[in-house]
Amino acid sequence: MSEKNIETTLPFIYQWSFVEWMTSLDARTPLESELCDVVTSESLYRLETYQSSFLSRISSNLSETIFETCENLFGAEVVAKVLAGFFKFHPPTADSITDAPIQLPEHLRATADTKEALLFADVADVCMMRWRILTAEDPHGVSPRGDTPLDAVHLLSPSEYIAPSGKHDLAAAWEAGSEKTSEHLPDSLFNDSAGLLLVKSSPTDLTFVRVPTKLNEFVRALVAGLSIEYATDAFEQSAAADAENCLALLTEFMAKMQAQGLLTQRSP
Amino acid sequence: MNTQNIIWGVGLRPAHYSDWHTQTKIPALEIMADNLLHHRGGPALWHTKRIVDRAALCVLHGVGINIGGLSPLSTKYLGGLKDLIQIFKPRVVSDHLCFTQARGIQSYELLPLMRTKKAIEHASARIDRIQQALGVRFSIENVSAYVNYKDDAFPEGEFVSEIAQRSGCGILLDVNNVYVSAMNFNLNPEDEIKRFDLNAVTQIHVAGHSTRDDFLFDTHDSAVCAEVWELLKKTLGSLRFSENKILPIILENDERNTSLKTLLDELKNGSQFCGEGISIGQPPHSSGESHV
Repeated sequence: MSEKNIETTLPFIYQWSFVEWMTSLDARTPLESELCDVVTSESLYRLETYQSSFLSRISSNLSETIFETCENLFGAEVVAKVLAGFFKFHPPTADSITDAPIQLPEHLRATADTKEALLFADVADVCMMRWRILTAEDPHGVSPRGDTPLDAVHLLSPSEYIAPSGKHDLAAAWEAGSEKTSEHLPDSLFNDSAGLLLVKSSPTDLTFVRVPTKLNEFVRALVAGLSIEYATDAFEQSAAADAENCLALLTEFMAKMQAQGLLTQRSP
Repeated sequence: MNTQNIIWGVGLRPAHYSDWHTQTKIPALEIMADNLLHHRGGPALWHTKRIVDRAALCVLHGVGINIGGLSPLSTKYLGGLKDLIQIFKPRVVSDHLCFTQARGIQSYELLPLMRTKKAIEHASARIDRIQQALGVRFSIENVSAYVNYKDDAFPEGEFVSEIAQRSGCGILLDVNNVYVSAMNFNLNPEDEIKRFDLNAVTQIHVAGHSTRDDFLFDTHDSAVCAEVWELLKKTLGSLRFSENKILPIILENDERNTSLKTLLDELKNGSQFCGEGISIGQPPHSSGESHV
């Protein structure tokens, strides 16, 4: 470190000691930390207030914004414990508190030792997807008329899709977490069932759509911005020999999306 | 103080959006910048725009600039703030005189600064850069403190005021924070308020606090106590403003379950106690009129 930097930094070293001790949830008491050299002895014991409020502030904020469904499904205590474990390994660096848990699902998958932890990771992914779309630019588009050619009909944007994971029924999990739920997680949540599509249809409306596994490639293509016509081509290629049988499923799915106002026609 | 100068208001909270839409008159509102930062759409922005449009005026309040910290000022954060300023044209833009992070690690807390000459120089320079980046005059808020430092060289009011004078910024005077800090260090709150340069005050906060063990804790989750209302009343008696200066006074309450009715009732009672009738429905702020 250069001499100039030392001059600039030394008077502020206490800030690093403070933040580092506080956010690492250091088991050392204030008296055992570097802070005892800078904080007055009569107020030293109050430092623990900052440490305990650090986690409670993050948990409370994230539960109100992003992780409400996780809190409903797993309980506030579990959410707080998961976040504490995560931030111990990944101290927050994001300006916005809502960006702080971005690596949480990945962290859980790498460290999970229970099936509930893996479910939490997947539900957290959905929660963050919801937040991204909620705060993204609002959709603008016109509902397609009956005679609009299929190459001009698209899925409303913003939208995102989570493909079937092979492990969890995310649509059922989301539904279960939409209100305060019972104390245990239903076993059905641990069965793979379908993909989950999320579309913003107005500034205040998000729609979750369960996507049958067979329509995986179709929805992927729609979310990527392809029109219904080109997405149907992608679907037919993926369905191959079974295309004819799946067509009814596709038609029913498209009718449902039209009825829910999730389609738009691209302006010429 | 001239009654026409004061505009009373409350913080705008998501839990109250639907209630505000049915209110015929809306007082001053404080927008929490961090609740909307980098939102390009969505319900928070949608509701806030519609509600603030009918408010007497709005002010914008952040928590994340890290004014007294050492990490470089975040151009992304300041850019987000600037976007919000352009959308809402707030009368006052503010954040806290504190540090919130170090070496890139965020605490998301308002941590007290060591009150030294170097800290004054450092914070003043940063506020200068903030004001340049935002293109508006900025205001700094005093925080509640539970700890103090062996090397503190200035009383808080003098520290804040010196920085305001050097940088040309305003002071958002949080009366509850003065009270909490004073009580926590066995000081007289009235004496501590007098140390602030009241001529630099652009906005006032009033809020509740709670008791933790043997000290006061700034929680914003309870009603304002009688002592803080009394302190505010005495402070208002000391303020002298020119005729055309507007002073927003915002009642803060972050408790999730506090209803809007409870909040507005408290505001009405508090403003009447202070000798000022609540001014709901003052002419809305006009475009371009901001930054006291």
